[in-house]
Amino acid sequence: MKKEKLYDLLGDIDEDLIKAAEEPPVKKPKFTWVKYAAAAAACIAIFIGAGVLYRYSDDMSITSDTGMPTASGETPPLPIETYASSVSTESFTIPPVTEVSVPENNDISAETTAPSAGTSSAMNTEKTVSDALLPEKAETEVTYPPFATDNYTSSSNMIRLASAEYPEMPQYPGGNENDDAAYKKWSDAKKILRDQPAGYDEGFDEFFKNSTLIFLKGTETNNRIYSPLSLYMVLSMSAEISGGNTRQQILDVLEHDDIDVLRSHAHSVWQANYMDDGMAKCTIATSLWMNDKLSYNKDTIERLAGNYYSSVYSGDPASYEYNKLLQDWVTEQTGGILKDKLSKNTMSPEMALTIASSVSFKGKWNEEFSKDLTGPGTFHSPEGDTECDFMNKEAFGYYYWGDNFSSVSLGFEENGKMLVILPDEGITPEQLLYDEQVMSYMTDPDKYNYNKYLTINMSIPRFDVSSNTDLTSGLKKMGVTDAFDISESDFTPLTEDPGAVLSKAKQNIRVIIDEDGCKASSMTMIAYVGAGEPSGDYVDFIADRPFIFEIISDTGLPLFIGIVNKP
Amino acid sequence: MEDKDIVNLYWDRNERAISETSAKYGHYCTNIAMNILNNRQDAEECVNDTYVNSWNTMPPHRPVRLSAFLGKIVRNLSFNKYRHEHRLKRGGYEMSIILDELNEIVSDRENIEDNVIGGELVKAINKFIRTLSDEKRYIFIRRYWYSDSIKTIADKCGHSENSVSVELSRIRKKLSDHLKKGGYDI
Repeated sequence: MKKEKLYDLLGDIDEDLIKAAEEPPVKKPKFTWVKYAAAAAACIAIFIGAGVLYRYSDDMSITSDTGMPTASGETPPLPIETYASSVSTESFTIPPVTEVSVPENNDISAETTAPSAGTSSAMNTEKTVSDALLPEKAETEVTYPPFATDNYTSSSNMIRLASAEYPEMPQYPGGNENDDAAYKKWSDAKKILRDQPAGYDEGFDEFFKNSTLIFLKGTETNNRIYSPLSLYMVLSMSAEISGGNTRQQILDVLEHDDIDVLRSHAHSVWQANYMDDGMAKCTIATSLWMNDKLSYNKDTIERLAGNYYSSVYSGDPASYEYNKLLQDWVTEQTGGILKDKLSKNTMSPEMALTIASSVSFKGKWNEEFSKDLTGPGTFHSPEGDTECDFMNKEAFGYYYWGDNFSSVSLGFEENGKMLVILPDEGITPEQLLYDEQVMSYMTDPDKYNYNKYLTINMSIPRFDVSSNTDLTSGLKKMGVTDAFDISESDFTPLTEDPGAVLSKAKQNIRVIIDEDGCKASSMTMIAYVGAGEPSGDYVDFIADRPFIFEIISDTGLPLFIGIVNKP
Repeated sequence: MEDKDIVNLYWDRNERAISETSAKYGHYCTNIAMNILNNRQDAEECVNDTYVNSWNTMPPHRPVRLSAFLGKIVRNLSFNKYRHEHRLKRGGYEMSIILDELNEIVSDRENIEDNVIGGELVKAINKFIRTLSDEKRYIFIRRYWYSDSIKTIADKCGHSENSVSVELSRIRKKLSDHLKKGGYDI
């Protein structure tokens, strides 16, 4: 039969069906989604910390960049360390974001025990995407920190000063298509979180553009990933605990004039992007880890908990138990996939304060890549050709283009999308970031005009990329200088102890696009050369050379952006 | 004006029937025609022809659902025009996409029995559509009867465009399987 004939015949379907389709039905959940189906999925998590603050004696004048005093014989300063790291992966099951349970007296030492032989292997077991899609384990795996215990003292003096209370998020009512009540409960909860005041993300685009250009710079051969949302939350908290010009510089970077407005916006950003319904996950978890010798302002602690959903702890950073608690917190938020990074992010004994933040994301492709079509291919990395597995599919979808790039958008079920942006031949991903057209596309792809709905023959490498970025110099370039300067820094809103200074800011990220059980299937790779409006209804999109990816939340905020030079 | 009153105007041979139809369903018909033709002038021409066609068929016809009745006429006229224009390589880009999507269900070869099985095939399609959930049914009919763009459907459903295109892809596959099981090798 000719397709035109079928279209003709469809014109004769029953009139009551036609009439009924004049108005959209009351929305019901989509249940074609199978929770544990093997498919492309993304889990992304970030934990962030930034810097070391020092409490110093009046006669101590200089500290090193690592936070250790350069002058001997003086009282060592107390550093505040904040780690910046993020994980993006499809290969693990992220446990629910829950509070660390503590006994009534808030003494949490009872929960921390020294590692026993053999337990650390749990940290070293690689998982795959399919593991991520298996039913979640009833309990989080034992996750003892992979750092040596010899260097730590033992202390049971740990207190939780504040705890975050997360909004109620009913589980996605899968499995029962007619359960209107459950669907309504889920839908209403989601709507309340999404319904934020107009302009709550004001300034975020500028912050995204400015910071992306700085933190993705210098990626000629390596992979580099950056999480704008994660840094935004850590800087917002940093603004909350700082004062005077130290605060103003951070506000300027975040494109805000007023801490009250920033506080409100950060709260809205958190809520609008929060999703943890059993099907999709996008959570931002923050915490503050204080040295128990440091004084603190109770009101500031409460503001952190109330506005930034932050939990605040106090303990001895020299103790094994306190470090383990931090490690466990991060492991819980990131699903354990940053285990290799975590070992380097323990608190130093002199630490005064650590800010940690994680962004976790997990999504399932709207339209799966067939495992049968995955096959080996050549990726033309800057350091030479390399073999890797390519996921392939042919699908209807929107194809985007600009003067120097082409792109496709891969949607996740009810949880945002991933843009894969391929520079034209002869242009590097880093060069492309300076292209206003591509930046316009990345900040709001839905409003980008150069697109066409057509059949796309897509070939994208499976990748597992990670990066560990020192944010210090980048933050200074952006204008955050006083926080790093011991003679200028002002953290009085949090502590009256003088001399706090930011000394370390790091961000670790890992992103994995994975698929298990591949059967080798040879695929002819056709390099798409040049960008421009495709002349026909069919186009090849072969990402076999360095490209940019961006993961965007359901509300349109950029969660992660990265350059893949080596899949 | 109620639909039955407009139909009565046709039956009374009152020319006000046309203006009332235009007032109530002009936008509805134009949308369908525009979806198919993507050309304002051609669409308006088809909508006017729809009114003439309605005038000529009422009486003797007395439609129960006037909107669907008018929609069928304008859809048919517009698609005929699309085919004519398409031969001249003009317009209707979205329509060519829709037809390509339908191509996944059919062989795209002309068979002698196509006209014979047409009525039975429509019944089988009706049966299939009724097995779909409300939302899937809506998405399918909006795409292949009203010829809405993916974006329009996504906006109306509150889904992403990607979700809608994926859903349509799945429904097409199911319809194809359904027809094959019913013995329709089209």
